[in-house]
Amino acid sequence: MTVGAAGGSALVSGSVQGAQVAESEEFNAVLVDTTLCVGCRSCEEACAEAHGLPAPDVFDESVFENERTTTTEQWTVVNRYGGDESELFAKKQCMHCAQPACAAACLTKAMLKTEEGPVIWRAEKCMGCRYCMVSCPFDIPKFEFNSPVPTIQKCNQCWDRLQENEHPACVDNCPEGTLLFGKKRQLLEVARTRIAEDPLNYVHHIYGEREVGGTGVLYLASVPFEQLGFKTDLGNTAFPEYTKGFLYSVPFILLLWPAILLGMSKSRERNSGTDREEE
Amino acid sequence: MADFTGTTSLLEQRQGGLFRFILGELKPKGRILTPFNLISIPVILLGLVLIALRFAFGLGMATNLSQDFPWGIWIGFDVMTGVALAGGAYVLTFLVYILGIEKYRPIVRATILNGLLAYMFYAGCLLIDCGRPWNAFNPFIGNSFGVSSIMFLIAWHFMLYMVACLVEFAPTIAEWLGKERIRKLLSAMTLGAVIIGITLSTLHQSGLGALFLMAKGKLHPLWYTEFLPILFFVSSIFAGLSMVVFEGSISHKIFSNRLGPEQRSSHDGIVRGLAKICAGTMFVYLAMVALVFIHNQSWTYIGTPMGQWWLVEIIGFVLIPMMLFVRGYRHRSTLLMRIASAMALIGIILNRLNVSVIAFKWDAPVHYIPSWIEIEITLAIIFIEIWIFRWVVNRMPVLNNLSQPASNPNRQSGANNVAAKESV
Amino acid sequence: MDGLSFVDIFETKGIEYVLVLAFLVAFMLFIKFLNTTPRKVAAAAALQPHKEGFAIANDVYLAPGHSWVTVGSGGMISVGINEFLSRLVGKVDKVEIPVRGAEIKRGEPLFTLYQSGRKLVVPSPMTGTVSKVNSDLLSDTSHLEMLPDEWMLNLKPTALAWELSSLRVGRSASSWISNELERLRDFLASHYGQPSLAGETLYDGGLTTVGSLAQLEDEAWACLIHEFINPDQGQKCNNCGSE
Repeated sequence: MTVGAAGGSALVSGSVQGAQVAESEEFNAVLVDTTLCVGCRSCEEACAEAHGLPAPDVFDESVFENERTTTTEQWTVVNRYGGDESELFAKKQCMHCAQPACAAACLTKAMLKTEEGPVIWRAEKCMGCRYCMVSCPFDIPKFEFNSPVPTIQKCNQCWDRLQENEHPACVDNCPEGTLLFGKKRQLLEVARTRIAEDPLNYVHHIYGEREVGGTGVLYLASVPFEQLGFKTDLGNTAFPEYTKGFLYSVPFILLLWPAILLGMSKSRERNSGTDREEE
Repeated sequence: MADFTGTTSLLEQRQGGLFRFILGELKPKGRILTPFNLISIPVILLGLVLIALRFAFGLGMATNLSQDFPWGIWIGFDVMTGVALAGGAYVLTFLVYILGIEKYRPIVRATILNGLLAYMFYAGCLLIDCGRPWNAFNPFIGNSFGVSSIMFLIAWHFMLYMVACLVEFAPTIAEWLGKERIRKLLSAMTLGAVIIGITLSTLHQSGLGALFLMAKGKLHPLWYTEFLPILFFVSSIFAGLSMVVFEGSISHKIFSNRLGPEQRSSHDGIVRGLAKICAGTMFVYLAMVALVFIHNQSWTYIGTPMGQWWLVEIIGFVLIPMMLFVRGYRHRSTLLMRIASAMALIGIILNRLNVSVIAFKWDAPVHYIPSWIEIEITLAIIFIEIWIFRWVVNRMPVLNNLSQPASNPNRQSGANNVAAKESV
Repeated sequence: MDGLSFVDIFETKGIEYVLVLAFLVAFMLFIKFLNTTPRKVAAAAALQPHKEGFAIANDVYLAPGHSWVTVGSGGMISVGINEFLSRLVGKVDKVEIPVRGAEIKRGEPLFTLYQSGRKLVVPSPMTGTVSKVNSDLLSDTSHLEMLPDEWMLNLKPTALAWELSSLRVGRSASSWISNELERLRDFLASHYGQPSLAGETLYDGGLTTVGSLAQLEDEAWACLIHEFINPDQGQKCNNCGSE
């Protein structure tokens, strides 16, 4: 996979191209530098076009009055924070977690964390149980409640385009260089470099580096992340880890219980000397 | 009202073919226009229509579910509460078949029947709730084993548990049909089915709690705990037994004509015994809740509205019913024990609803309230289940041990066939 | 944040262990409390379940109406009333037994006991012809209260094996009696308005009281007969709201 040298972006060259460590096994990711975002919403437009979704009216600034979330017809949205005159924007979409809660929750493997990185949804497997929606810490998957043949809608990091060696549509179409695509390891280095080189302009934290065990979308910001609508109390534990204790004990109970129960019933029989079966 | 003559002519009916037999058995016994029927029939019919509409137009027209609240009362009440209340089957089979406490044998059959019907109908409810039910076979047929999913576990356990319940209940059916050899064969499998049933129940009762382990942050901290599976498991014990007491009291009155002498005379003793077990289990449960409370350092939340609500659930509908069970047991007051069981049931309903829809995203600006259609379909499903229960109880030896009515005295029936009045 | 400031994930472990210990103690006390009998109920219960006092010999068969059957030589059976019933009844005024040669079916009235103007009918445990009668009973009715072993009549049975197989014997008979005693305790507890009516007993089980049947009001009497001795007689009273 090539490192995304997205059109027009001032990319730090050296360290990014140099990294060769286990490249084929590592996830791809997207870096979102919110300090560069101007809220043009070209990413929303490009996403809609790439996936056959209704085109959003990017000239309607009234949408910024409310904090929006993704919908069944919009896989990504840009929100404005800090008031009418503010220049703070944050793009919101699926975080493509390293250990996604939705994929762990999905009993049919309709939600799948691909080897390349994006978390995708497959219609032919999905039962519509919506457990992924309950589990996602970011509340991203959206369900078509009003359709008799409902689907789950969320960003899939243009996984189909990735197969053609192309980049996500949003990354390719961002005019300001806000979005960068590449191996997560390399993007982390880019992010750290930017922080180190401009420490007063950046909050010293890369959102998504460790949150919920690490995500496939990294964010940089010039103000504390809570002010940009990010949840900062999610912790660094991957969500599937919370079910580990239970799931790991299942086989043991499946082994232990029958043995104990059989032992109890047989010892009782031996005690009372009768073998009373169902009458 | 009871009519035994229908079953005496089983052999003749079967000679007319299976179809005629089924038709014959479908004929209602007793009055048709009872108050219960008059209420339940329109509800059921409307429910069936609404279910059809839900499949035609999608979940949105039938429910108040939203992107913020993907699960409503079909999951929170029908499935989660229903499964907890059906826990009587595994507890009772444990008491009778594993521990050998014969005292509870008279009600085992009815409880297994209830468990079987409950799971069948709640599985049905799941299919209604799933958005793409035509893919419901996927977790079972091997092309998509989502083994990391707790839902996967629950799906499989539901299926297997229904089979286990069916095997446990099958001897009763065989008895009804007069197939002695098959009945013997099935009876030999009972212990195995019971062991499997208890194991599976342990896992899916706790599994329903485990479903919410990944809802950290969305579920209010007073309810969210890593020990939620254990709390669900322990509470399912007294939930199931309270349901046995409560619903058994109703059955006792309504189906009194079908009661065998053992069922009739042992009822109060059984209620008392179950009350004792409930009291003990609730004591343990409260201790666990206290432990979790300390572990999570939840005292900071008690002052909040949700904190008060939590206290209502725990104190009002777990602690108080436990005390009522204790008092009812010691003073041998069946009335007190029944009140206790009703309150314990409310406590369980509250607990499951809290975890699934009330304390789930408790701080959302617009909260989920079930639509009338969701409620209606829930009621319809419950009524259908009662109808089937009634149909079975009126024909099969569930509430009595008589495998054949008085007109055939040469048949040896169950071991405890006392010389009772059979011409009830 | 990892490793940057003080964190103790076992912060509450100490209190938790204390809680667990407290729970173990509390649970033991709770179970003990559950198993004690409240003063009122103990006083109201006339009969305590003394297993030793109600030992049942291995060859004695019990019928649901609390009559007993033993099989004698020549296929004859002896019938009497068991200790449960005789202690419950106590002194009677008169006993009526069928005459020799009478044919009785199982379930039909066998003995009639008269007490304080009330009539208790004990149903027959088996079908047969009366072959011998205990005439002492007819003359001296004070015997009844203490002698469960006293046979009352002999029957020549017509369906011995078949009917015997549905009577209780041995361990199942003992456990049935225990259950019936429990049930009787419940019954008396719920039907007695004041504990003082129940007669003298020690607080947690000592002496048994004989003859509590006589002290019941008519309605409760009829209910007890119906519930314990003879379903054809008497009827459930309004107190039995639970049924």
